[in-house]
Amino acid sequence: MTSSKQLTKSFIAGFLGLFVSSNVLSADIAHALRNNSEEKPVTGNYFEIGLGVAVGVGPSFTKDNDGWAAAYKIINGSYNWNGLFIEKYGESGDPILLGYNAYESDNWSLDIVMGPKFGGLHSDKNDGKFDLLDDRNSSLMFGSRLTGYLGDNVVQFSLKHDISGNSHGTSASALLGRNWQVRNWNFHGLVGLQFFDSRINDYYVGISEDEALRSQFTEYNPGSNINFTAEVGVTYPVSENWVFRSTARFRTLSDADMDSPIFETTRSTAMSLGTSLTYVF
Amino acid sequence: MLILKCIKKIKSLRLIITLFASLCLLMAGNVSASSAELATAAYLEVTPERCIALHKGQKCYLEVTFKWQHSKISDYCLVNTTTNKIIKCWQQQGKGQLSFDFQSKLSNDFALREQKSVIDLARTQIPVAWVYKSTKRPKSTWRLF
Repeated sequence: MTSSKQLTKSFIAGFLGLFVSSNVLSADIAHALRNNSEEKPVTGNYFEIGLGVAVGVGPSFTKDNDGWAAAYKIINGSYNWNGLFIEKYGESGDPILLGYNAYESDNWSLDIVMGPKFGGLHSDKNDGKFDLLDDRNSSLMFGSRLTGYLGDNVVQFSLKHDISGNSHGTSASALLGRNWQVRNWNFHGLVGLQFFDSRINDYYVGISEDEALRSQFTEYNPGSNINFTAEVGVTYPVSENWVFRSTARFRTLSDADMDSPIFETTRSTAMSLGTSLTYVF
Repeated sequence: MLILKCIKKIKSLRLIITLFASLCLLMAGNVSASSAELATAAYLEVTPERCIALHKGQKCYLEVTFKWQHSKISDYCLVNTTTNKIIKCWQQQGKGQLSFDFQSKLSNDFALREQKSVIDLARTQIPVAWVYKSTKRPKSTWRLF
C-alpha cells in the first residue's frame, strides 16, 4: 500500500484516463437490463452522495510502488429534461457530462454527449517532478454514444473527439454488459474495449522535444492503443435511501502508455476493488 | 265518541309498534357491535414490515413472519387479498405463526379470515418500496469511458 501522497500520484494517473478503468453504477444497469427493458431508454433522474473505499494495483509515477488504497466521496446524479440531460458520477472521478437524446426506439438510443475528460500532471501534486513539463489540461470530448438493449444484454458504442484544442484527440469504446438479480442483490458483469488515438496519448503521456530539452525526461511520442476492460459488481438496497455497492475492475495497459518516461513503476494490467455506501435523495 | 276512542287506540298501537321496531333496530345494532368486537379480537402482524428493492418495477424479496391470534378457537386462513390466494389454513386454532418467502413487484395486503368466509378479521400489509423510484431506464450509467 502507498502513502496518501503516492496515492495522489496514482489517482493523477487515473485522471489521465488511461490506467484506471472507469466506474459504472452497476445496479442501475441491472435495473435497466432486468426490469425496465420495456421502457423507453430515457435517463432517470436521481441524486445521491456517499463514501467509498478502494484498493488496487496500477502503474505509478514513483519506483516500486504499484499498490494503492484510498477513501473517496461519491456524488452521483442525473437529470433529464425533454431529451436534454446532465450526468454526474463522482464515484468514477469523471466530471460532468451534458447530452441530448437524438434518437430512441424500443431497443436503441443515440445520444450526443459532451464533457471534460482526462487531465493531471499538475506540478503542485507531484513534488515538483513535473515542474518543467507543460500542464496537461482536460480535453472537452464531444461525440456520440449508441446504446442497445438486447434482451438481458446491453451494448454501448461511443466515439468522441476533443473540441477544446488541448489534445485534439479521439477516443472510442465498445461495451457489452449483463445483469442478474439474485433476490434483492443486483449483480452485473461487463467487458469492453477502449481506443485512444496517438494525439490523446501524446498529449497526456508523451514528452515533447521541448520538454525533453528542459527536463530530466526523454522525448517520447506514443502511438494509439486499445485496452481491454472488465468489471463485476454487486449492488444491494440496504434501505429505501441507502445503497451498498462493491465492484472489482480489471484492465490491460498498453505499451503506448507504459513506455512513457513519466512512469517509474509500470504494469501490464491494473486492478481495483471498491466498496461504497451512498444515500439516495 | 266511539270513533274518537278507536282513533286514540290506533295511535297508541302505532306508537307501540314504532317503539318495538326501534327496540329491534337497537338490538340489531348490538348484534353488529358484537361482530365488531369479534373482529377487533383478531390480531395479525407481519415482520419485517417493508420490502425494499433497488428499482421501481423490480421484484422484491423478503423473508417474513406472520403472527396471528384470535380469541375464539376456530378454523382460520391467512389470505393474500391482493392476489386472492390462501397462503395457509389452521384447523381449530386460536393463534398461529408462519414463515413466508415474499416475492412481489407490488405491495400486497393480507388478511386473517375464518375458513370459508370472506370477512377479514384482521389485516396487514407488506409494502414494496424502491430506492430509485423512476421507472425510466438509467441508460446514463453506461457512460463508461
